[in-house]
Amino acid sequence: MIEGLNPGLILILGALLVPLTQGVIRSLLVLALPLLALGQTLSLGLGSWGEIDLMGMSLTLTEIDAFSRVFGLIFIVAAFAGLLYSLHVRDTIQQVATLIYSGASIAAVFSGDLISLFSYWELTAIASAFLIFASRDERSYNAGMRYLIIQVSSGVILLAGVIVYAYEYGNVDFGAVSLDSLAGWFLLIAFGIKAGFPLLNNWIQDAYPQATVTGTVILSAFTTKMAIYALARAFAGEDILLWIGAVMVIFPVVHATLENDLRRTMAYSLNSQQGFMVIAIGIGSELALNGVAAHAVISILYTCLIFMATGAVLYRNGTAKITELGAVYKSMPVTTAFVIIGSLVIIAFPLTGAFATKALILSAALDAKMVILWLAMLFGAVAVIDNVGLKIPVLGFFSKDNGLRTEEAPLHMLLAMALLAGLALWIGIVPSSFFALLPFEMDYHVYTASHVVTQLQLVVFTALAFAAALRFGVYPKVTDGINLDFDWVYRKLLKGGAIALGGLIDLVWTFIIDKCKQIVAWVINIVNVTHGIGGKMSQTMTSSVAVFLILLVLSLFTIILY
Amino acid sequence: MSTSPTKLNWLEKPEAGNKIFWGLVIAAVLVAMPDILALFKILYETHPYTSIEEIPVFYGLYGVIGFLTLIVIAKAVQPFLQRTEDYYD
Repeated sequence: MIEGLNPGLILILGALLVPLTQGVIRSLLVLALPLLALGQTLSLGLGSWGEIDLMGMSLTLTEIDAFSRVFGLIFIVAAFAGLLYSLHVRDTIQQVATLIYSGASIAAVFSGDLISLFSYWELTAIASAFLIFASRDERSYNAGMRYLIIQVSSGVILLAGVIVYAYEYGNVDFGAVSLDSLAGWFLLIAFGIKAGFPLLNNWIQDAYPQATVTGTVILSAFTTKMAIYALARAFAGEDILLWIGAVMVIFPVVHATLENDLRRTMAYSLNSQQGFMVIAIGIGSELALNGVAAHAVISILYTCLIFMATGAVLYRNGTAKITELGAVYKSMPVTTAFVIIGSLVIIAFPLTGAFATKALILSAALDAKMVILWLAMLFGAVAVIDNVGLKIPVLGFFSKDNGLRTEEAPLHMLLAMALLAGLALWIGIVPSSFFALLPFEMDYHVYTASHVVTQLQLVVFTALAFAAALRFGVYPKVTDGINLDFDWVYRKLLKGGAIALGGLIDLVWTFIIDKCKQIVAWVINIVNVTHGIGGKMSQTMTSSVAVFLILLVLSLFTIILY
Repeated sequence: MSTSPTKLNWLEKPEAGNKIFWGLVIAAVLVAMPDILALFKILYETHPYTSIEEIPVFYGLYGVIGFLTLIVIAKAVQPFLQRTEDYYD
């Protein structure tokens, strides 16, 4: 293959071939592209390729180091699984958008400079919006527009940051950035929007559940983790991230508990998990950064897996709302088995991947003596046991039978789920083989007796409390409808404000126009009086007077000129 | 797989809820056991990083307290946040 070709470009360019194919050939093509990208990534190894000069700036088109390789590889896995999951989709727009979006994310983590990063950053925004529009109803269209505005804003802020960075530092290399510079703040906000920082996060919960069944699975894997990668690369060890991360871990879990829509529940939980990674970036030690990379991988695996399972339920039942679902486990036992595996992974049950990866981040916090942050993360872990690990399977899949019967999910969907579930379990069972991929070497033992016992205590006691809460009817009742979040500010308050302002402008404009009309009417009236019938200026005169006046003027001219 | 539509799955039998609940109680006692044994220095010893972890069954208690805090907050804010599905339309 072409030496130094950015693996992401294989998917982006390959996407252009998709409209030319159909049927089985197209299915084979979309599955082959991620495999080719995988081959290219593995054959390249570590290093940098394609240095070019552009208007005095030196760009590095492909740069793979141990940290970016972890993200690139899991993106390729997610792209493959996502495409396998969506094989039934006969919608060229969605397939092309998926390939360009995933390719751009891979290309972004493998780009060595800020200009390339910016280009791919914007490409992910635009390509991914089509996965939301593809639902083709009014709500999705509106959500997609809001999503696009926010994503493109992130890109524009990133561009501003890159320009200021190039001015301040004289180059566009993508490395550690200091928050003492203006460029640093621009980059932090641009990355923060996509990472789901508090108050900048609502596009996740707004847009993801509005995408198509397959679109949500694809969306959940890339944008937020690409932002984690960028944050880790630029801001490892920045203290501000510790507190941003802590708020991120804690705040979304309340909504996740109350939410009725399974996919929106998961979107809130995803946001909380992002917080773990942001805290770890803030800690910035080698152990913590290994934790970031490892947890990003596991987080993609279980998030995609649960979105796939809930998506399959939506695909078969036409709804993914707790209040409308019944005994899903009877109709879809295999999907139910996968959602249980996904739940076990997300609650970090021993022998699953998150048991290994969450421990890295928690240990890094304790090593750095950050007990309060550690307690915040532990609370996040308890919350996720409740609102995803237990709530999604128990209330979503094992509700009281309402007679609804459907078919099991299609085979290709089950295979995609099996791939992700298998990887998540494999990482949990033999963590050392996975740890070898991580950027820093470490001597970390996952399976100590005390780690297993403490984690089991956390899980079992929380499950017991959950069961008791359901038994005694004190668990918050999940109701049909929505729960307000910060997006209320721009979807209601600011919208109302804008409409009121528009009304005010209209009022002032009408007033000015009325006044102008009055002035014009007044002028016309005056003119009418002076020049109108009977007015001073409209009176006629006799021809002798007229001839006299003309002769007078003529003689005056003659006297002056001669 | 049950073949007869009238036959109840074991999960649907009225006593299933009880069984699961008491099963969890037993499991909780079992996983709390090592910490209790460690108090008497039998078989198992804890490896606390922090002083807060020295509380016996700290993780279990934290799980219960964390969970209760979460549902109390969730129930408290629910009336203020709840709207109908078409609120924004």
